[in-house]
Amino acid sequence: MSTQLHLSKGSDTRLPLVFIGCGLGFLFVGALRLLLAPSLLTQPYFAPAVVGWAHLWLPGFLLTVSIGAVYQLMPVLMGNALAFGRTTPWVHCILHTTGVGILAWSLSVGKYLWAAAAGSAIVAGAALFFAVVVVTFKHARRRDPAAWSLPLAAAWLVATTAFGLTLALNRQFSFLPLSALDLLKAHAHLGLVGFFLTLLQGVSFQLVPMFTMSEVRKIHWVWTGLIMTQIGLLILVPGLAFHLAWIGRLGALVISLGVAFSAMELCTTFLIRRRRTLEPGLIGFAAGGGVILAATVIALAKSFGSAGVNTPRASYFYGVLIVIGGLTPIVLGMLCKIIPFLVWMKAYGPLVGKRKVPPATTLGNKRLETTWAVLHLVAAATLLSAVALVIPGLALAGAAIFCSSLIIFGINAAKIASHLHVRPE
Amino acid sequence: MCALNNKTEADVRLTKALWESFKTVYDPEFGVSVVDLGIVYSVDVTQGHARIVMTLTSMYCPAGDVILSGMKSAAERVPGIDDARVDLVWEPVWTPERLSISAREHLGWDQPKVDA
Repeated sequence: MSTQLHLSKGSDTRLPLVFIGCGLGFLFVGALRLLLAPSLLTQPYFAPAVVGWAHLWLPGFLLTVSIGAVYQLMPVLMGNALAFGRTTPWVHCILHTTGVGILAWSLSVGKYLWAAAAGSAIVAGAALFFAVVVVTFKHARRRDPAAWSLPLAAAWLVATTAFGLTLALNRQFSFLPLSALDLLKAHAHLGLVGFFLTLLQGVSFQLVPMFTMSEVRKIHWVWTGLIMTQIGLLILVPGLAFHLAWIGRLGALVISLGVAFSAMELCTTFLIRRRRTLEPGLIGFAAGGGVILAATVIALAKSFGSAGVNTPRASYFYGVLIVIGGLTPIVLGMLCKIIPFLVWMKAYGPLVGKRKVPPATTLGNKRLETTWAVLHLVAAATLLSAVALVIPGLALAGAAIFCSSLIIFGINAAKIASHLHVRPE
Repeated sequence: MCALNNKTEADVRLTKALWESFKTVYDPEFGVSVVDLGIVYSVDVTQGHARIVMTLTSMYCPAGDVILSGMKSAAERVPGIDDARVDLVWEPVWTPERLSISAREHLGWDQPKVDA
């Protein structure tokens, strides 16, 4: 049999499942926190409670799940086992989850030395992640945008976490002669664009064709999108940190063009798919991608100073749009595909060819997934309205709907996970 | 009595049995059998030894190992097959054109299959 595949036998499905489980745990805590304190959406975005809550979502939910997905996907994409063996990612898991938990609490109560200690653990974990990804990439031969996006995203992650650690220390010791708000914006864009967007602009062109039986027609557009985002971010971050308006505008413009190239090719990939019926998870993924595109337009309007979009409230709206409207359905939508696959591999993989096993796509419940997707859409719209109009009642309603959507998502995930109890004959 | 290409009648019968057995090996993502996906290129049986030549829909198929070992298990489950070898090849390249009519219906792809 071929030795070119390093897939199910060599990979440990527990590792991504634990990362994903921890990430979903952070999401549930974040949603519950919002339900108990809906005023989080009506406070200024730089209030300590809001910053702490945002860290439950970004490094907590979105990053933890994404790291788990990268550890699962990387051996498949690269055709190599992960570098440094199996222990290193587990050490990363402990450093990351412990660090994020303490970070979210310490930021929300303004204990910046604790935040710096937690940040150090997260930086150490990110450095391990970077080392694993880069060495695995170096040993592989694949060099397309999907492969390149992994080390690039890992490098931006190290930069983001180190920047965040510096910000926490600066809040305690005030050694940087720059605006704390400008630095916060630069930190947020490093993570959102550097890690999440870079990953999306590469890995989407592996996952979407794989799930929809499609193909990438214009690979040069994918390259252009990825490269423009990297260049744009290198320009944008100093522009934001040093409050250099025209540099920031140039960076935003280059990133927006990069997003447009990627979006056009991703649309084509969806349109030419052979698997015509889109599952709820993929609809959530596509809808989230559309929201990211809309957020890019808002980012451009903000950087070019259009009236009404350059207020702190507009900045908060922009952040919630990206995180809850865009990235969350993208990640949860992909989880509707990834969780059944990982469970299937563990429960039914060894039984293939020995007895009839159900396809991975039948482990979940399509009706539950559709309900989750609809509720999420309604919740995101309500929460965004609450941010824009500063109405606490709307924030509470949005939080309640969002928690309902998560309960539905959780019931479906539990239904899928129940297949792990299948024992080989 | 000898069949085609010096194959015994038993070899031909076992080859047919293998194709039937492979219809129970499904791609976990698409829920379509490997036979309907068109990823099994050839099945050859000689005196109870089976050789299967197949490909995958992608070089980066995350379920590749499971499908390959499942093919070996499915083959060795057929009475009369002593051992099976599964060779993974990338030429000819698999394209969706190889999907069977039932696979196309299952996926909702309405492009008709054109036989070469």
